[in-house]
Amino acid sequence: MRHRIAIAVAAAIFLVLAGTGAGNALWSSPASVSSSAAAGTHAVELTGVDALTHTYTSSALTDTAAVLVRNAGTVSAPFTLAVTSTASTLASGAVVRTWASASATCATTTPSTATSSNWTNVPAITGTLAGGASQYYCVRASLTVDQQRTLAGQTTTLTARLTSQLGTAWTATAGPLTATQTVADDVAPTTPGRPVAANTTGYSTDLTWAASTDNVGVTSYEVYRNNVRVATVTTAQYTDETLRQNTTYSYTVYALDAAGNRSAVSAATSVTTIPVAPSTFYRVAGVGSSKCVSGTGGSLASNTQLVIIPCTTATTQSWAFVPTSGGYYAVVGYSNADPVWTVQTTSTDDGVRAVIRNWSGTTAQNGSTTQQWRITRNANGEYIFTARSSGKCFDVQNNSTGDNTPIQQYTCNGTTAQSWRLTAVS
Amino acid sequence: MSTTATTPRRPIRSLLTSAAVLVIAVVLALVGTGTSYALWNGRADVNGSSVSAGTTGLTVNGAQAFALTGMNTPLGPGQSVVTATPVTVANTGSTQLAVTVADTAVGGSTALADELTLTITPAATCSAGQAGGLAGRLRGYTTAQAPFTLAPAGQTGSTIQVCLQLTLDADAPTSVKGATTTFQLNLVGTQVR
Repeated sequence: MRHRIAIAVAAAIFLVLAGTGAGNALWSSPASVSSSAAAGTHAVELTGVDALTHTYTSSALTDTAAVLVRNAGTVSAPFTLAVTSTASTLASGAVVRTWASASATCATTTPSTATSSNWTNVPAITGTLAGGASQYYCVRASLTVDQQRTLAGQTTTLTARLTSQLGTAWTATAGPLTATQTVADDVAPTTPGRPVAANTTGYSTDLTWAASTDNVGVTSYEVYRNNVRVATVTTAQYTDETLRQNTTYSYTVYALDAAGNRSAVSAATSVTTIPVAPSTFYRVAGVGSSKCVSGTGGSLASNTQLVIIPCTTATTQSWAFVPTSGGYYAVVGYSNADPVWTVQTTSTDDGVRAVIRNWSGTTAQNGSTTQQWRITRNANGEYIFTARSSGKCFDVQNNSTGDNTPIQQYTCNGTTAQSWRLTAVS
Repeated sequence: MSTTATTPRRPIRSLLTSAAVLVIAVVLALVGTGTSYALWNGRADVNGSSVSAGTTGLTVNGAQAFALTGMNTPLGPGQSVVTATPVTVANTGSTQLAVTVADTAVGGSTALADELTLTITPAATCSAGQAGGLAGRLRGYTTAQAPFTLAPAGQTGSTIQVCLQLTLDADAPTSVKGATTTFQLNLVGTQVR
């Protein structure tokens, strides 16, 4: 009986354990690996650009700067350093070389591997720096001696930008940093020509001289009289109206440019003012006729025609020169009144008669420019009288030598009809 | 006398016979199935006096819980970090195991974890970008679909060397700059039938 029970139990166990195959599970064992990960930081720095600020002079034709690019982040990152410039002939004319340098000290001799460009097309400097790493780049710009002369006054502003891009979203920048480069003008203008005096009166003279040239431009001339500066003018001419009669002066001129460069001094010229004085009366004789100026019939009455007649010692042929303004004179007859040489009308036409009228009075012509004359001397020491109102000369009509030939105003022509000699009579 | 002398032995012999039948049944059942039973999963404590069903054990670089260093090199978008040397996963038991990364837990910046891709590549030496690995997002990383099979300890194929590589997505946002994340790969070695 027990055997049967045992067999039954064994069969049941066998069937349960092996017959179905269900209800079993597999062995397993765990393990783990733990760690951490980190995202880095991303930043770049740019320094040294300010050293590109430079003024080119004849003794400083080259500028070298060590620009430092630094990866200020913690991850390796690519970078691009771009340099742009404002347009100018300096920007397009300078020769710019760049190269990587192991230190902030740039080689004196530019490596053959350096890039070459001008400021308008500097190749972008690219590279990749590990986090915290940095790299120097030397930037050398230079001008030739001739460029320094021709580009004087030019300027360009340089702008440097450092950018770095990681993936699609991480962007780091440094700058823009700027530097300004200029070309100094240290070249003086050429020496001005020797001053030439003209229209010299008892009180004034007109000076002109051959203009100077300059690599940038002449901005002014300094006029020296007897080694004392009397004026600064912008063109190659000057009228000195502060002279004394019958006095000799020496004039020299310097040219200056905008940078203050001063030329060598010009050759000197000597000028002597005419010897007329308000208290002195003169006979005025025509060079062509040798006859003297007088009112018709010796009259000093108003509207009397001025003519030439044989010279005498009569006071009706005596004239004094009284300064008015601007180097002009009134030519006054010997009288208690003030009869003066007058262009008959304000017309500027040739042939308008010269007459006598009083300086004082209430008409429009009294004291006007028709009664004022510039007295100058020609190369022969003869005098020329020019009407202030017309700029025309005191002229013997048709250069006649006949008595009582009228005097008129006429275009100045350098003939003997317009040349006069003065003889003091008192 | 002989009857008396014989009668007492019969119950003993009967009991022994019954016990033998039971043992035979159990042995036959076990041999017939070729499997072991969960209840016997001793991992380390299977009694030697009980049925000799073998052992299981799994280690990473010799430890059941291995702390891997060198993976926290800061990354930028598109950049990777890979283990300098392979990690060795070993079967220390006496049964063949199928090993998987069952799951991966992350801590710290989950935003960063979500921008990281983990690649596990069987290789004797490690280098960035090596081919043939199993890649997936770090958070929830698993290799359940492609287990490694390890032979019992002491046999050829009882270990495998793998390289771990982490890659930060190229489009990772700037908000994850400077962030850190921790992770734990949970491996399971399961007995192979």
